[in-house]
Amino acid sequence: MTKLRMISVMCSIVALSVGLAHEVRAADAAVPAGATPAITTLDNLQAAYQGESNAKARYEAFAVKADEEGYKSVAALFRAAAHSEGIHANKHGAALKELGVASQATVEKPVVKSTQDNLEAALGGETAEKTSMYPAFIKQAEADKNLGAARSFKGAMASEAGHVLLFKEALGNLNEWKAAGQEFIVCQICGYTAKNTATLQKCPVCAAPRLKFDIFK
Amino acid sequence: MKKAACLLFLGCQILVILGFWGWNHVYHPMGNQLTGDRIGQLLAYGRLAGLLAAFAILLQLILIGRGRWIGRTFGLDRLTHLHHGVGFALVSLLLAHPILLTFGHALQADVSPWAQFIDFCRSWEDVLAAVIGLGLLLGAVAFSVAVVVKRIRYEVWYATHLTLYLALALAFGHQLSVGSDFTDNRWFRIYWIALYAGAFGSLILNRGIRPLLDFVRHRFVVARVVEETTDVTSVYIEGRNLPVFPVEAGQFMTVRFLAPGFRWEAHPFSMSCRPDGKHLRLTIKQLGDFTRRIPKLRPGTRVFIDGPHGIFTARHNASNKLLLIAGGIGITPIRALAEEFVVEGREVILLYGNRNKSAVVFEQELETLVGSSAGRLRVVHVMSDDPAWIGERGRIDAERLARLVPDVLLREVYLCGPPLMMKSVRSALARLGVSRRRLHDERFAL
Ligand SMILES: [Fe+2]
Repeated sequence: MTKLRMISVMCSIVALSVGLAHEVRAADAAVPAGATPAITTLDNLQAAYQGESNAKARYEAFAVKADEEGYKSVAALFRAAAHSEGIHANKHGAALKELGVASQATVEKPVVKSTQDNLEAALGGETAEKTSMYPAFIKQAEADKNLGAARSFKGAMASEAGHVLLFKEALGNLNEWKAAGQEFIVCQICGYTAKNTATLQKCPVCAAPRLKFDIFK
Repeated sequence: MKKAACLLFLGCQILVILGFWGWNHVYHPMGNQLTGDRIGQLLAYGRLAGLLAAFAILLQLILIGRGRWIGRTFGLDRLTHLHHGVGFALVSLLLAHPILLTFGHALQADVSPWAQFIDFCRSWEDVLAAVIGLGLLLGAVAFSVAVVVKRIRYEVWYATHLTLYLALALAFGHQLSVGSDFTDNRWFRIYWIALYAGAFGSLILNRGIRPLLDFVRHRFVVARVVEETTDVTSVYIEGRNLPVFPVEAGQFMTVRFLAPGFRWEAHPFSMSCRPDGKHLRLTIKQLGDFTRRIPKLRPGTRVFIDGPHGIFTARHNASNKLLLIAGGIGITPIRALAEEFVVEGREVILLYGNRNKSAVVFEQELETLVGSSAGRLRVVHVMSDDPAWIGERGRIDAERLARLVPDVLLREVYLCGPPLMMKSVRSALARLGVSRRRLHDERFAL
């Protein structure tokens, strides 16, 4: 009697998990049936892909400049941020693929100034993404029931918030950040970026463990 | 009152856990995970399953620790039920936890569930240990479910539970090292550690420190060993200050004899006489390796006692008419209760089922008790397999109960015996209309 009950409970758990998992794939892959509704989220994904790809190229160039000017820790931060933006670009690309669209971006030649100016430019870009672009994209994706795209946008937005904090800190302590020594982690799974501290056991965004972190110094 | 407070406390703990978990997942860097997409939900509910499973395990520890007051408040039998019920819920939660999280993380990292599982074992701290712990636990549970239908031997029970402790230890690490509810929320982490400390504290206090104090205070020692039948032996235990040792007729204690060949095992046995302040008497049937060695116990052997436990006692009813039913060695607490009730001046019928006459324990004692009871105690022997027996032959079924105890509905019933016999007697009593509230039964131990 109890044995039967137990077996049935276990079976239903397994079935439920498998069912939920399939539903996710289905929801992520669903191309809305109507002719137009997905257009905006599709546009947004392409815009975000374009933005993240350019940010990656820009930060890589900024990192080279920071190294030239002797801002070792700032260079490490830019390399970490570039890596993070690359992960976001890939995620947006995957969401585009789910909609049956190949991802493509025109990467412009970055405008490189002094490291201080570069940091300010980066801060401005990230703040705009975090406060206006991604929130709007997320709203649209949720309205379009494209949960995969919404997740991709949310993940990027959560990381950009981290970038904003780090760029601010670098700007405020530019002299101290000349020395090497600041280490940064980037979560391989979601692109979350933060200073490397011993207490950071897990990614607060996607829960990945430390072994999934890339370290930049 | 106490019961309500206890349940309220328990409910509060569950609310606190739900609260922390809800907070962590509603105010999440990725937005509300409970209403978001399925990945978030798989992860959130997978974690919840793990949290509740760990809580259920701690609850089990508290039930095992069973402070005297918990037993008195809830009743041992209901505690046993609760212990088993929580155990089953636990298995379901413990399966849901890794399954939901494997699917959730697999989708998030865009890999197959199998690859994710391998990744858990390889690069997630302490998770491999937890997986091994889960395997041990499921093995132990499957094993005990398979044998529990038959009469579970104490050694088997002990081995499975020891395995469960090992599993618990293996699974503890990953909760704090990769449990994101704790790595992201310091207060939840502190609360969680306090919860563990409380549960283990109660276990150590009730099963370790209290028996140790009793050991020092009473200095229990084997006084003599008496053969009752060919395979049943009584052990008389004496000690200092015995009148203040709070044992009642019908209770049991977990006993460890401090002698070579005995000291590494502790087994539960019932008191088989009414406590008289001079000695404790345990009457033990040779059922396994340990109990077969009991006749070899030497007088003078020190005894470590964890107990007394149980609410299979006279204290819980005021009825003047009683029906005691014993099967086989289940006579031990029943024998003690019969004397208790007779001394209290209540009217008692005792049905005592055995295979044959040679298996009857306390035949002489029971006769003496009947003689001194002024007609208040009647003992009826029932033999299931004894062609030479002139009295009642067969099982204690509804027909026999109705015939031997016509006023059964007016009586409080105490029942103790082998599991299968208890089961059939319980259903016979139910058929006669005896309400569950009037039935007290004892299964010796959790
Ligand atoms: Fe992450």
